[in-house]
Amino acid sequence: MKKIELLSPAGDLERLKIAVRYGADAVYIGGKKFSLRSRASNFDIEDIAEGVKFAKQYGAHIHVTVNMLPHEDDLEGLEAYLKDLERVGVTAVIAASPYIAKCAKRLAPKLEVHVSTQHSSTNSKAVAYWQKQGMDRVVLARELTLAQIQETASKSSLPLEVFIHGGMCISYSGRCTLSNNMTNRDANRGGCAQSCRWQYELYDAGKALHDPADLFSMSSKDLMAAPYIPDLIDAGIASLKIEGRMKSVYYIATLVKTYRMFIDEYYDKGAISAERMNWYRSEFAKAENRPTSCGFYEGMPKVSGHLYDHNRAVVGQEFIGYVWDYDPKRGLAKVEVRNHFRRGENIEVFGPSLTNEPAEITNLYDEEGNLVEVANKPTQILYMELPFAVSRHDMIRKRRNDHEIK
Amino acid sequence: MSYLITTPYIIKDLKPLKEAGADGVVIGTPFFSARAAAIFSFDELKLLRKETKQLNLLMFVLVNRMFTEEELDRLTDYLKYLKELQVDGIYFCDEGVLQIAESLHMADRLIYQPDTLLTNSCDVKYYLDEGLKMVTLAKEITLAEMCAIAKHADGSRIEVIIHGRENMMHSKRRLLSSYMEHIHAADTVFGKRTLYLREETRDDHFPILEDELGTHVFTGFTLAAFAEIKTLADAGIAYFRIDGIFHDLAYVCEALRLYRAVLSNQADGAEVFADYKKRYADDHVTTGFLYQRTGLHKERL
Repeated sequence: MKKIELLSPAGDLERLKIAVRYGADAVYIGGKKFSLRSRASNFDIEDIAEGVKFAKQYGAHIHVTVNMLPHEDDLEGLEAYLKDLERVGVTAVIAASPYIAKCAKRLAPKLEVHVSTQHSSTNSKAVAYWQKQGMDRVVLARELTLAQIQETASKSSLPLEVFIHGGMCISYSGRCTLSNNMTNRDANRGGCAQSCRWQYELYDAGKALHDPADLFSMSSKDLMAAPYIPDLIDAGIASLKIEGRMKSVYYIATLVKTYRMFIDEYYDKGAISAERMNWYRSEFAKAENRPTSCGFYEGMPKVSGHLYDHNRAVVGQEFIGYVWDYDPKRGLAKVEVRNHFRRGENIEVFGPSLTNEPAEITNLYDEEGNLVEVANKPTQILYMELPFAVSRHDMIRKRRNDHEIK
Repeated sequence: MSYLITTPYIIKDLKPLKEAGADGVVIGTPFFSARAAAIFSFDELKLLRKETKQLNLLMFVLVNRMFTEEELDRLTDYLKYLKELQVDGIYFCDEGVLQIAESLHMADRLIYQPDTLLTNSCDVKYYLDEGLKMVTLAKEITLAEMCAIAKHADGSRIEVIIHGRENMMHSKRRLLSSYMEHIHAADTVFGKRTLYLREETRDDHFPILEDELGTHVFTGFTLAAFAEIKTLADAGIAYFRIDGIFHDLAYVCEALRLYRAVLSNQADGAEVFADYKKRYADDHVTTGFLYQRTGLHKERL
């Protein structure tokens, strides 16, 4: 059986490389053209080529979202763009417009075409339809329960991709024009303003039903579907997708690393024990900046799956430093400061081949060799004494006590 | 030929709708239909077919639910029934419906209405080439874009929604019930058609409806294309929908008569619009996105 794909987002080359280094099998990115989340897209064709080349060294693949729903005059340059993507070695494009999908098949036959979740494919007949059209994969809608995904997969021979982590549209994907209506920003052309998450008053024929101190909003908790991964693997799902092309390097590193370990452990041991599941939960929680829930996996999301009030329980940023280098003779790590920290704080270091090595910050030096008490200048380079070896691209975060973890 | 398609509320409405200028009606049923102006029972379908035939009205049925695996058998049976009934059109948005309809040799009855997804002539042509009866354009594109689409694709198989409150969000979630539970309020919200949202910084009322299919939010404006229908018809678009959700028979009949008058040059579209906008001031009558280009950048209205 082919191992399931771990598919990570990336908003730029730095994040693409982090995703690959931390264990993603594939990374999806948006080009500057024809893509949603265009504000999160920093990839021109040269960047995409570099990303593909880099990923190849690790046996990883690059998928490019070409998922805009073009208006009449948006299609110029599409054909050349698709050919360029094929030429530089992109594995797949993710398309919502069947015209774009068919163009890719015709003009760039080496590209796989994955049908975007904007089609809200929720059953095996929809999958069969796309298969008949020559598509290579369907990204299922986020509105399915685990049982529905299993059923759909059991009746489909086309590879299926499902979301396992990240922000969720409150709407069926692609069917929402709140943003268009509220801000003139076209959600299906990369302009979504997330107007769903604004605060609204609710009335019944003039009578207020809302709580003025806690207004109505249409906001879902983020998805965290790790507990279902064993079942998804057993169901033959092809790819597990993390959402979030606008997320940070730290978010991507933490999630990709943890999901990589989770998936590998399941393949290795055939089960994830309750104790290990708890450990994984605490690891995922370290990446989160919004509360999470199981989405539709267990059925219709209940009140606990939604966010209403202003208190959106933002988890404090705990990523404090990025390791640039390590001098084993002096036991000093060269660290780029990402967030405030001070001497005496408890930290842990993780990286592509390092899992949560704990330490206490002892001596810190600046580039002139002066002792530093507090690191509070983002991007400043400091040298941190560590009692163990670290590597370039490892990350340092503050350590929370167990009781602080949700 | 311009076909005006609209929404009856009860079977008795068919005759007055026909007299007001309707050429076809959209029928909603339980389970299968999203955002229907009215829900008819399955038992009524036969009678509706009989009456629409007698009145020479097209009968289109809404099958615009997103279907999950366990619902497919029910969908297949229903499509077979609709084929037997010889309905003139079936609105759908789930490609699974198309796949099943093809196996039942009835794709030529289907009308693809994916709400937001059809925004250019290439995609329109793609679905028409699949052998569908027709497609309904997204409501968020401009008049010029609609005309350009009709120029490049077969406008005689294209529908444009020209009048009514427009759906702008469909969530499968029970957002209103969840909220009421969250604030510990006991008011009934499920199935109610009198609810609306007001965003903190603006006056628009956005109708919101929670039903078996989830939660639907509608535009804060009422679309009216009195001044544009002739341009659209001249561009070759054949089907025009007047959606009466949240309204009644008299409202729909009036709109039908006005559009007919404009189409037959008995009234000036711009004047009709100006007058209508005044008379329905509370409904916030606008031309929607017909002149409003959307883009990527912030322009909070």
